Amino acid sequence: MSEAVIEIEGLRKCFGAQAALDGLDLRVPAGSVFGFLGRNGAGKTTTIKHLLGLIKADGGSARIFGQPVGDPNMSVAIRRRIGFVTEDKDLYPYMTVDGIIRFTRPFFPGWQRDLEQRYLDVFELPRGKRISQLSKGMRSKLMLLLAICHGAELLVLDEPMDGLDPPAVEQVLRELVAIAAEQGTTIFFSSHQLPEVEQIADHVAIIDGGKMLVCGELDDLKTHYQRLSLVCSDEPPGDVARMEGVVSVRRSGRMLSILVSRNVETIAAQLRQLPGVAIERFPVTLKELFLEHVGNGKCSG
Amino acid sequence: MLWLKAWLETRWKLLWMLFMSALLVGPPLELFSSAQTRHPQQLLILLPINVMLCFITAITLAGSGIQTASPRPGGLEKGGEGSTLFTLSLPVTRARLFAVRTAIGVLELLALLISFNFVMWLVIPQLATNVHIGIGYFAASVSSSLAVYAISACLATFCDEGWRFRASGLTIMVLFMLGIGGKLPRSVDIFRGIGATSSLVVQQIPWVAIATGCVLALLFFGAALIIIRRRDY
Amino acid sequence: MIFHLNHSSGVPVYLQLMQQIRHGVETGALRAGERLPTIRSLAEELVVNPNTVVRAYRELQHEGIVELRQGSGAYIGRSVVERGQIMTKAGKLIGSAIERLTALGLSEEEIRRIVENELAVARKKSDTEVA
Repeated sequence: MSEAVIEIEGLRKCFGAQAALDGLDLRVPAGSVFGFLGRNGAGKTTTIKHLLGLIKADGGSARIFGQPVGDPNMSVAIRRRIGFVTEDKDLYPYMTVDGIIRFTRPFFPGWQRDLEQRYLDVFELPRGKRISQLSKGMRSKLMLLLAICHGAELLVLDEPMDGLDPPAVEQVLRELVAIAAEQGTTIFFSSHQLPEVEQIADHVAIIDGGKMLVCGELDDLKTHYQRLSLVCSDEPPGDVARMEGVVSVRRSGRMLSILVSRNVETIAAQLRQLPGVAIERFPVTLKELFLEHVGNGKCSG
Repeated sequence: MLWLKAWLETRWKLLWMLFMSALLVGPPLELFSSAQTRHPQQLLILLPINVMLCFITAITLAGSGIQTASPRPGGLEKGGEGSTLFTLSLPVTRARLFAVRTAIGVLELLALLISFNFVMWLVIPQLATNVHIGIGYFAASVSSSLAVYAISACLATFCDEGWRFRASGLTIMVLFMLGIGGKLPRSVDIFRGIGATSSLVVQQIPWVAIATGCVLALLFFGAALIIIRRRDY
Repeated sequence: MIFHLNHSSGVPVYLQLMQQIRHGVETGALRAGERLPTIRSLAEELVVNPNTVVRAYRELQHEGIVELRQGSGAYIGRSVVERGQIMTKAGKLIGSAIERLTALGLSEEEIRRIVENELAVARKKSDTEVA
């Protein structure tokens, strides 16, 4: 098992009476491209802020690079190794693009100057433009540039593709893949763009209500999650939902649609025993997986 | 680079204070210049005004930048002021952010103080030849303004901008009232040191008042730093 | 060799890559001994996670279609030609079986179900043999 860059155990955080994080467990392997998914308000941004040391938790623990997040001696050293893109993409409005690059550079001994121009060109960011005049998408790209150029081992990105049009999204994805391939950087990002996550992530985690619902390698999830479509000649069997590995069952007349998270072979074989039953198998997209677990707001599984 | 950033963020406040002071002091000066030597003692009213300006400057400059440098624990949860998150994600201790921001503020404050006092020193003898401003006045105004700045900075670590103004202003007024009412021991009352009756006429350097001012300043800066260190994550 | 990936199809990307490489071998787009793109360059070109490409190449290596040579990259295996021939043979077998089942009056859907069923039975058998 590869070393974990981020390890979170039982993390808890309440804002007043509301529990934003309710016993969250999460493990991000080194070198992975990790998609962090959840509805708005599920606790993604709270988790990210805690990792960056901006919010103190009420319970549980978190470690980055093996160091506890709350340790004041290590916090500056840790932040030197992390590149961060915030949810609101706000920088200093009175500075120019060039200005903020020159401002950020001295903080990071590992800064890679040759990458600056490359990303300015790829992301089409004009050096002399004031940040207050940049669109949200441009600011996203600028923050990404700052995060990448300082040679971080870990990128923590909160909705990095917010405000970007499809060609720009593709650009960003391409650069993220290149960094993952060439420098082995761990990329931990939250996003609402499920197709994009599906494209480049090798691990995903879905959280809701401050708890982890699903976590694992994306390929494995896609292999094990299957949809079975069942047509019966008579009344469909009633106890399908209780079979091990069944996530949800939807019924309409003599047809059942069953979402399975594992043991699809066993389940399919059992169902085939029933008289007059026709079964079809379909793969499950990340979007379906997500909506199934999170769509109706209740924890399932 | 932090210095540059702090400067960029506060320079408008500096100019604003200069502008406001010019507005506030200009007319009275006009007035007095026409009144000439008739009531020289009235000029002395300028001195407290001068000092009030210094204090207001101090409070203003110890501004929201400090909040940004090191927000109080609850402040970051719902968004936080824009670029705050970016600043805090940089590998810099909060103590350092606070120190730089405060230092720039102090430098700007001193610059303003020097110019205010310089103007006073130049102008007043012109209008009332028997009055001289002693160095004691200047020293007293600097030390008390520093104290006000430090109090304000300390308050800034846990108050929002609006409350900070009120809190700072309130503290000053309370001290002032105590001073007038004679409740504070003479030597400690920083206002006496800069009041109209003191050092200019007496030509005596109010050492204790100055010392008090400095001590207070150090105390509050220290307190602010401790608060910030505890928050450093 | 040009790849077309469907990220939202629910089929894992590495499987799609594998299928397309196999298909490339069958159609002759990829020949025995030909060099495949490096993991990095393919990942960057297709904008997919590099581990995806790694997995596809490795699985194909297990199947004998791809050879991974230390230091020089991934190549289509020499034995692949044989595999292609086997696939052609298999196509013919299944083709004639389908003809006969259709002649018995079975629909396409029924035939598919039977095939799946028999595959499951065969898998179960080999599982129990291994266990």
